Amino acid sequence: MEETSVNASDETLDPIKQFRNAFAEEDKKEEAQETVKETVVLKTSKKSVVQIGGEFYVYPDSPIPALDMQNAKAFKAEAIDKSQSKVYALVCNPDLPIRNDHITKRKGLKLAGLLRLVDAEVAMWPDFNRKTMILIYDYPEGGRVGTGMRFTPKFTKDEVNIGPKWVSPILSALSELSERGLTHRAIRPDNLYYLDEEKTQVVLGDCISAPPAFEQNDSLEPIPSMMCNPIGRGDGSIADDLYSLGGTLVWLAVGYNSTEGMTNDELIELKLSKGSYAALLGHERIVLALTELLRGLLLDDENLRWNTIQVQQWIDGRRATPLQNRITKTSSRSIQYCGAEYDNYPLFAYALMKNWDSAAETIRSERFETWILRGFEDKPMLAAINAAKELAIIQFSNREKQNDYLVFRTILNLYEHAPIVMRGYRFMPSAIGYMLAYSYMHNEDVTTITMMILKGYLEAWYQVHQNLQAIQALKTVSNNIQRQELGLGIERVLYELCDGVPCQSPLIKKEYCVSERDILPAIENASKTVDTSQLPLDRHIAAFLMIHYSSKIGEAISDTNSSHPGIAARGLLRAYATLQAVFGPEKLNGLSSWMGNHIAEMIKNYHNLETRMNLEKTLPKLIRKGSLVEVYQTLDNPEAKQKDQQDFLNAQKEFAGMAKEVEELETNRSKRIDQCIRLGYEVSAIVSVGIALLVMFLLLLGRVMK
Amino acid sequence: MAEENNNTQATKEVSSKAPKKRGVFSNFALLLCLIPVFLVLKTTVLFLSMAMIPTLISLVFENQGKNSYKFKWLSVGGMNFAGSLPFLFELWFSANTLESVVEIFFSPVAIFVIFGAAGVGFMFSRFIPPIVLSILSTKDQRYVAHLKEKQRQLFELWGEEVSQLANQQKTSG
Repeated sequence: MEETSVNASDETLDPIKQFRNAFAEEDKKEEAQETVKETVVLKTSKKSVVQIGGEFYVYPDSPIPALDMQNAKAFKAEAIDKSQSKVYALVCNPDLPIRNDHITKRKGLKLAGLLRLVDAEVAMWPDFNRKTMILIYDYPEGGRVGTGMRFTPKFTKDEVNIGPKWVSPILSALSELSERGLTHRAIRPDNLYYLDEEKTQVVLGDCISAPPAFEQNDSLEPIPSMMCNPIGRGDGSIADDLYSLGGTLVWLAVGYNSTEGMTNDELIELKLSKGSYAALLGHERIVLALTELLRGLLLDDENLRWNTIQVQQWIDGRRATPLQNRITKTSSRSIQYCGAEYDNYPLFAYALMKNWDSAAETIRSERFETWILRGFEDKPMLAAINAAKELAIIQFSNREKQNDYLVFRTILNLYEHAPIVMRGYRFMPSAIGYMLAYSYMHNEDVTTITMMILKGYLEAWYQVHQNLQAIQALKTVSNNIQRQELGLGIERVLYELCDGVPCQSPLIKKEYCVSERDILPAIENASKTVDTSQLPLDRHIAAFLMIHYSSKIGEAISDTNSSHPGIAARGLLRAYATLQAVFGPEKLNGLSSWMGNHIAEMIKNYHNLETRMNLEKTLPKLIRKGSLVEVYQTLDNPEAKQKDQQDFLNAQKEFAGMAKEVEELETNRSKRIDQCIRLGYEVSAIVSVGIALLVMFLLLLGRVMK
Repeated sequence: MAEENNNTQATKEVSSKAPKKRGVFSNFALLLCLIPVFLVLKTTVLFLSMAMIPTLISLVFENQGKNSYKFKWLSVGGMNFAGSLPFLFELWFSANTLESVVEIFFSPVAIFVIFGAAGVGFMFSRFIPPIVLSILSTKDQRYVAHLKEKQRQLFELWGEEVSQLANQQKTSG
């Protein structure tokens, strides 16, 4: 009996095979139709116009090189209804993360001192043959303020209008951004524009098309930011923007970059030894009125640097004397390292940063200890470095990694403003998201960055800066990295820490998805080309959705990690059905067909084999409709499932009861025979006694009758 | 603690002795009641003492044997008593003396009927149990087949999973 049943269930319980067979022919027909459609689109599409959000046309054949950014090309654009002011489009580099927080908080708003971001939408760009972010800005009629590296100085010696015309709008812009929790980080002469043809209104240009300070000239960045990789500069603070404003004003005043020809290393060393003001101005003579402002803005100590209030006071004519940079402590004796002599901590720290391979050996050397003890009489520093040596041994088993960690901790001890450094990796902690995004977008390995998060590099930096809140947040990040389920891991950290990175799933990378609403159409497109034996959900898509739409589908994504195939399939379908219900589109034929290969397991969530068979028959028809919502509602009908579950439990109990009875009857045979024989004796006794009573009754009756 | 144990033991001893005392007393009381009955119904008692000899033999054998079913004597006894009844009635409704007891009992017809009936009772106890066993076994087999058929139907409707609970119960004993 058992064998028969098992065979029967084999046939009915393998719906995947049945689905594949059922869909094979249908899929072929649909593919053929899609190919025909695509060909039509390609043949009829015009390269000359790209539509943005239904409101703007962008003309790929009409570039505007004068408004190009380093990583975004400018093109002619116009509003479809012609009611908007004149605009232009910036087509972002799809291989760079953008600053999505700016788009969210600034789109459509006219903010003082900023070129208005009119719209921002993802669209297919013909030159890239892939989708990318296109930013629509108000057209600056007066063009760029400073074009190229050299230009005519913008301020004459007797210029009295510097404050209101140049500083005030930028200060307003920074205040507007600051109110929204944003920084600009792209203040430089070639990113300033005259909004009007008369060149009276100066505004700050784009800062969205590239990561913060990614395109900045090194000389315009504060020292710690200069030390970073361009991608690793991070959002920073308004103090960094004010520093860049100071540098920009110097550039505008002299008409060229005063540090031109210097390498980044030379400039850092110059700034470290002489201070930024002296380094940037050199022997240049600038407008006298600017001197105080520049001294205030170019202070290297962020805490002493002028803030917006002090700058506003300067604009208002209340002159104040800027504080001086704190004098860096120098030693009575210098230490020789890599052919140069150093007598202060920051410069030596930077030397260690530059010469990484020999740094650990020097830190462990006796002469370094002597330099600290005798040159600075700095026992706490020596203790901190010795503690770093011990910590390195605890954290790492590998000598090379111990050395790396020791060098990093030593640099941080010697120069607390230094970024997080590990060989070629130099970045501010706030830039970790951009670092990850850049690596993913360029198919680079993220192991080192991951290791730096997990092994305490970031935590050490925050400890030095006493940022307990960040340390706490970092613990959550580390936990997420270590968990390997879908929706977690390093991918989640990527999307959590970098708002502007499009989904990096290999399935939909070309589709440039920056929002949860983009995911389904992208997967639908991908379904035409990818191997549908793989799941339509990978680590990247899961993590992206967890970050962008966790409130609605977080639970469903978590379910996809279930070891029970039915629950995992249900999670997958539920997640995508929810997305379709909320964002559309109504029909997803490709995706639903793709899902058909993977959600068949869901049928097994029902116990009743008849129900399963019925669903197997119905499902292909539903899937062909392209509605995941309908498929989900059919497969996961709560009432039907509850009834099925209840009936199944009853059936199990009934089966178990019968099994017990059968076992009792079959296994306790001798006992049963005993029972029967006993009953037999009882029957014979009853019969005998019954006959006796009958005889007695008849005799008595006979007597009575007589 | 030790004292408590002693008390418990003592209570057990008392309780184990008490039924024996009651048994002896009740037997004695029964004997006291039976003596007047025997004196009043001496003819009936004598007749039945002789007529029910097969039952007595059956009872003795049954108690000596290892057989745990103590119903054979009842089977023999019932029929034995049924066979004795017509002659007992004859005794009661005739002279009802000791002589008539001997006369009635020792008639060939009476002996044949009384002991023959006892024999029939014995035959009952010999043949009825196998017949009952056979009937019940057949019934059991049909019931098992019915249960298995129902299990098969459940299996077809719910698949292998339906047996999970049964398997669990089987494993857990």
